[in-house]
Amino acid sequence: MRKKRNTNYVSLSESRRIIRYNVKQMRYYEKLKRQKRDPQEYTATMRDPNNIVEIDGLKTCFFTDNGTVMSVNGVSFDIPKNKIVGVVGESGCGKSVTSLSIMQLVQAPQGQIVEGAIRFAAQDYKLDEAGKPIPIWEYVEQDGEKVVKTQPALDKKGRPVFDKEGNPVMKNVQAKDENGLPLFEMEEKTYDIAKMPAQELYRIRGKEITMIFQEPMTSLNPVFTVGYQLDEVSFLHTPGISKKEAREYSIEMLRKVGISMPEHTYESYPHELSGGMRQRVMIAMAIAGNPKLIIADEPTTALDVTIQAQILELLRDLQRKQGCSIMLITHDLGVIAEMADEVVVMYAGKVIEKGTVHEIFNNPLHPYTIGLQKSKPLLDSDSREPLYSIPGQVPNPINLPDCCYFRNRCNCCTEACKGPYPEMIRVSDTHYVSCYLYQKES
Amino acid sequence: MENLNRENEKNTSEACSDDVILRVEHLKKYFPIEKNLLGATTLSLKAVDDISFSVKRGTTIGVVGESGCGKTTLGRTILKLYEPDGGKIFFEGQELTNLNKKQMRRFRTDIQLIFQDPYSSLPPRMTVGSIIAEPVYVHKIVPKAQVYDYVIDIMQKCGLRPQYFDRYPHEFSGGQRQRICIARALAVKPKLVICDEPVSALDVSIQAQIINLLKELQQTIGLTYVFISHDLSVVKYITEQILVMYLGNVMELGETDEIFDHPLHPYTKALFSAVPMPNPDVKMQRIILEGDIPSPANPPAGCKFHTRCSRCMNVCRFKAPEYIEAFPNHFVACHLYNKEVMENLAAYDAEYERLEAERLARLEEERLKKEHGRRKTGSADDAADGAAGGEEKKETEIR
Repeated sequence: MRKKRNTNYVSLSESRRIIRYNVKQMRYYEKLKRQKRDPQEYTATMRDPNNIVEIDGLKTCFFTDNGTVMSVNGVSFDIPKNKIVGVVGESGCGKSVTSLSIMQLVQAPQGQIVEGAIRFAAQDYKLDEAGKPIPIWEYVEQDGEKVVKTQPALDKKGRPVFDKEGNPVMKNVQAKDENGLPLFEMEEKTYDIAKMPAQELYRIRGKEITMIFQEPMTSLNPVFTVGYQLDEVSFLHTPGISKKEAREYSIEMLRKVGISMPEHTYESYPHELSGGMRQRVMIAMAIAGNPKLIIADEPTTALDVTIQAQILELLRDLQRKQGCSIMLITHDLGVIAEMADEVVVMYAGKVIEKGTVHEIFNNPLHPYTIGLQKSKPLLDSDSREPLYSIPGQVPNPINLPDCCYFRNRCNCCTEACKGPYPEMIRVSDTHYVSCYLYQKES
Repeated sequence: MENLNRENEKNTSEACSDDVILRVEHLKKYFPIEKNLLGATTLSLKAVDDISFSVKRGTTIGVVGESGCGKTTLGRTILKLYEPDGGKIFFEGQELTNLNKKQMRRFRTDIQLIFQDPYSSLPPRMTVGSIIAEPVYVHKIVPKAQVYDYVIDIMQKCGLRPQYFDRYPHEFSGGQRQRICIARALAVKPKLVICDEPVSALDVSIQAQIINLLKELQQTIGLTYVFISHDLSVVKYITEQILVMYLGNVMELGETDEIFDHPLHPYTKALFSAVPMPNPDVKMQRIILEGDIPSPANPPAGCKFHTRCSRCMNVCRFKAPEYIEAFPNHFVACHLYNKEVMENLAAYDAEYERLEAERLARLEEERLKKEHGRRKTGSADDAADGAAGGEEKKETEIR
């Protein structure tokens, strides 16, 4: 009897071939990232001015030793201003990689954005010829005229500075916002994050787009105090801020996220705080940059239900007050139903359905979305029937065939499903589904 | 020895109401945190504090609560993986608490445990077949010649294909690994299985498969489960009885439907209302608990929940609530349902005020003592420093 070839393993020659290919690819993309580019190349225009982020045909892949894994395989969706967009899917469906791609934090050099565009409407400092941000001065009425307010300049030890003739040196006073941060002239710019060189991205990452991670213990640095880590945000993104101002601002942020003794927490180390408090600190860090978009990657998975309720309440509150958008990534449909305005359902690296929260929950179309909703026992039903379970498993992400990835697990599979991967079909203005079942109707 | 046996028999006759498979009485497990010079424990963490319940054969009891409330410790103490510090455990009428390790071995096949994380609870260097066959060999469940067939049979029952016999755990996904864990537990023909968060590490679509498998096995083999979980919707679906824990204490115990329809304890109510519903049209009336769960090493006095309770009264701050049967088969530990307390609230308020005044007086006294001590040392310094101070002192002495 001939031994059947085991498809679980890769042969030696094949593995060598893969590694050679990977090294070539990784070098190419890394070089591309380090190149100096003309700002024209990575600025773009938004399709719709109401969107904060537009993701268009994004492909992110990982060059692993077993082959190329297409973690995100042509994902397109928009995040409108002042909305919460929920992304649901099982583990390994590419929801986290999508968010990391927006931040350009994908594990390099294995992980690379290969194709597609991520357009982001940023608000950046306006720069003068020397490349420095232009401050806004505070004006006062003097003799019926508007004059820039001045005050004596101080040296490092707090003593006034005098010029050669003995007159005190005067300094213009910069205007401040309600949080006590100095103001600069801003301008609207639209960047294509996928093409942006790493050097330029520092201005956006952590300020315009911030992220809340799943595990608050591993994402806070254990050897620095909470205050030190919070101040860092201000030092990096606000030019010319003093230590005292940064401290005051950080404490204000801690107060905003509902920490009762912010001065005490400011001095403490992450291990001294409980899980819920740590997550609050993470949120404080995320809102410190006054972001346009907060990416919350499973913010409550590691927390208890009662603490989860607190954190979700806080997030919604902050979203309303700050007027930012949130991209909420979770596998809990309950959290999505509670928080999100729009929902994106992902499966094996593709968006299979997107729509408003009412459309997805009241009128789910894709068999996977329906199955996902039926497989969770409900708290308000008394039924003891066996739960609906989606048979089989998520397909191996290496070398996926060109057909519907859900075909093997689907209970309404038709003849047409053997064809190429179904296109996105428009059901209503906001509701899109990628399934052959709905092709005839459109 | 004879004496002990007789006592055992007595206990057996007491506990032996046929269909009760597991009965736990006033179970306690304390972990030492601080020890003094002589090795005696001075401070301990009360992980499980005075818990009593019983489970009928072929039913499921759910243990719910937040992390750190002692759910897992309870499960492990029932198995005697931890030596209990007080209370009794009866399994089929036989008391387990006074058995030593060797005597306990007989019961190991009857009580099995399924762990939370299927990724770390399987040995990576053993094949699936040998993992499941090992307990069968050790406990001599079937003759050696039949082990292979027996294992294949168990695997098929748990939804694993016979081809998987020679594979290693790393080749499987989370759901399949959890099936291997279940197969390993079932291989010794247990009567009671303690499931310690068996589905919380799995995806939603896989969760349903595992829950269905557990239910199916219960119906075919007649297993009894102690189902430890923090996911309330799963607990509601699979259990007949629920035990709500908070900081090592039972807050509420009763039939599942009864507890979900009429939760009594404020903590249970808050816990249920915190679960997000997958329905955007339902806007739930949330009871949001303030603050975090207190440290179990230093729990609050009186009712342990009073620091976060929305209906906290003065009596809760100093008197621990009794465990009472508010409705038939529905137990709750809360003063709100204790008639005696509710009728004499004024008296308890007065008592609280007296205690509070006492406490404040004690604090004041301590403060004064400290200050006095400081002043004493301070004046001595003064005397040494300035001659004037010394003269004054002399004057007072003369007078």
